[in-house]
Amino acid sequence: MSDFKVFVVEDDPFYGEMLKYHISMNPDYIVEKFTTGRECMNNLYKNPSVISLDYSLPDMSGLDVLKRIREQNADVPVLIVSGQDDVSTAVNLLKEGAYDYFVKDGDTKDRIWNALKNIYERRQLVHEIDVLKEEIGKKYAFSNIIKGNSDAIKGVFNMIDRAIATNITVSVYGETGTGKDLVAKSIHYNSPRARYPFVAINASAIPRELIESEMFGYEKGAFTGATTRKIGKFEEAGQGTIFLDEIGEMGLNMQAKLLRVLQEKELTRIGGHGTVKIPARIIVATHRDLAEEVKKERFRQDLYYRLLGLPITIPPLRDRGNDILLLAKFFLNDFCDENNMPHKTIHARAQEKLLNYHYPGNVRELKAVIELAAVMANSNVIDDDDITFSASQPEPTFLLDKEDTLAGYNLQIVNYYLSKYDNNITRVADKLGIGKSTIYRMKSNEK
Amino acid sequence: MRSKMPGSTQSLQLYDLSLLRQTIDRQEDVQRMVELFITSTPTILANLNEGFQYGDADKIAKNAHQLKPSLDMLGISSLHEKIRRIDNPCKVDQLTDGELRTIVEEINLLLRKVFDQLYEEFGLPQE
Repeated sequence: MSDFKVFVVEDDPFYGEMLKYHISMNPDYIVEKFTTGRECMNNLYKNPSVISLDYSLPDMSGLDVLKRIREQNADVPVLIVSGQDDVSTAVNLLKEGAYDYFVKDGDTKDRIWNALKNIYERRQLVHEIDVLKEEIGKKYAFSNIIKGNSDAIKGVFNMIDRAIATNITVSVYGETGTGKDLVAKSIHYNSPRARYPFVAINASAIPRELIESEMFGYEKGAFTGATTRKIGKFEEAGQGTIFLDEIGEMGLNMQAKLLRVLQEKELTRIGGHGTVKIPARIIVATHRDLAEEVKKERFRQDLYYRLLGLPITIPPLRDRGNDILLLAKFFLNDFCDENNMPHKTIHARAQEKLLNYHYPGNVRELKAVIELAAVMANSNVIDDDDITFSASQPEPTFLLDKEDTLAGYNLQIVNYYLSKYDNNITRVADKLGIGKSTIYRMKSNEK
Repeated sequence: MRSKMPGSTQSLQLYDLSLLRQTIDRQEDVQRMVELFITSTPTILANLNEGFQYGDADKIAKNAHQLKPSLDMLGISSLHEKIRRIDNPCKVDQLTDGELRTIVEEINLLLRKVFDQLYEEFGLPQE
């Protein structure tokens, strides 16, 4: 049953009854009629969705009733219906917060009908938006969007929790496909800013000559083609969150402008004079090592420190051990559900193959591999033949990235395998062909 | 356009229910609204007359103002202008006593005729 309640406050029995009858023709509306302002006030506890209020009531004026309604419930739209075609009265009532003002004539009932329809539709939209926001909030709950039980990913969860609790700027680091955007959304949609917009801008996807206008907006006439004023992404975010993805790709000139905005917490639209306050939270992400970029003078040091805030590093998938299988099963079930396919399982041989791959494209790549496997499998069991990787097996480049001692290289290898197999020492010893005691000794020496 | 009343009377029909019928589609509800008009209007009219009797412009205007939408809804076009000449205390004050008396008497007279015609059309028992 609808909960759209319409109060008709009208002292003329005939006109009031006519309005009630007319409005009640919409089965979605529940209409109650009152003949005095006091009666209306006494029933406000019923939370009407809209009030049609006669301006001339026997016990108090429409303006007084409107003011008292506003005091008790500032959100309820009030339609003033008056016999007086008086512009100043209408303006005064609208200033006091009336939703609309109608003069009683032959068309009044139709205009009230249209106003109610608009209010009802707007209310439905607001309700739908609330539901969607709630759904998005659920969608971006950690457990729903970032799957994993590895120590590495639990460390990320811990950092996300800390980010949610404050307004600190967050910098998210991680290889491509690790889900930097999901971390940003998880922080936003689980924080008090969730009811405000989440606005993402990818610095690598926008041409350098357009990025300033995209971020800061422009005034009409600021440049050829600026036929109207346009607000930028920073303004669009309002009190929400602005997510600057691939910040490492931003040019030095734009970096200087961004730094100024972050320092001043206000901006000036291109071609504008006044400043606009920027209360949005900033989350940045990059797959680059920004400290290294600073050393190479490709990223401003002052901006680097301004953006550093709370750094969250998402581990690459190859370092997340059994999370690979957990994610694979999740993607597989999800894909089968979406495509109305029976659920499939992953054979031990296929699991082994998945665990031994290095995933240069990380979670994004695993998802693609699993979806392809689900399509290629001839039965409800995915075997190793169904698993196809686009990249070749990894070169052990992580060993060569920096010079080390032989003991250091050995320790790197052991740590890599421990991480990959969730610290299962028996399994790692078996894989590396060494004794468990060797691993214990190496770990002990590491400490 | 005004039409002749059906039935025995030859007087002009003083109302036009087409607007009311556009709003209210069921005949029994139209009749209920007509009955409501017939029962509620005399009280408003009496208050208007009392205002006139005591030279109370506010009271005259208030009750004329209240009558106005009902008269419009029932299509009583002969009172359309008259009721608007007294629906505001300032307008009432601008009228001479004679002009005001004429308007109030015409409103009373016409409404009595409207009631009679409605009683007849809807077969309502007259009190």
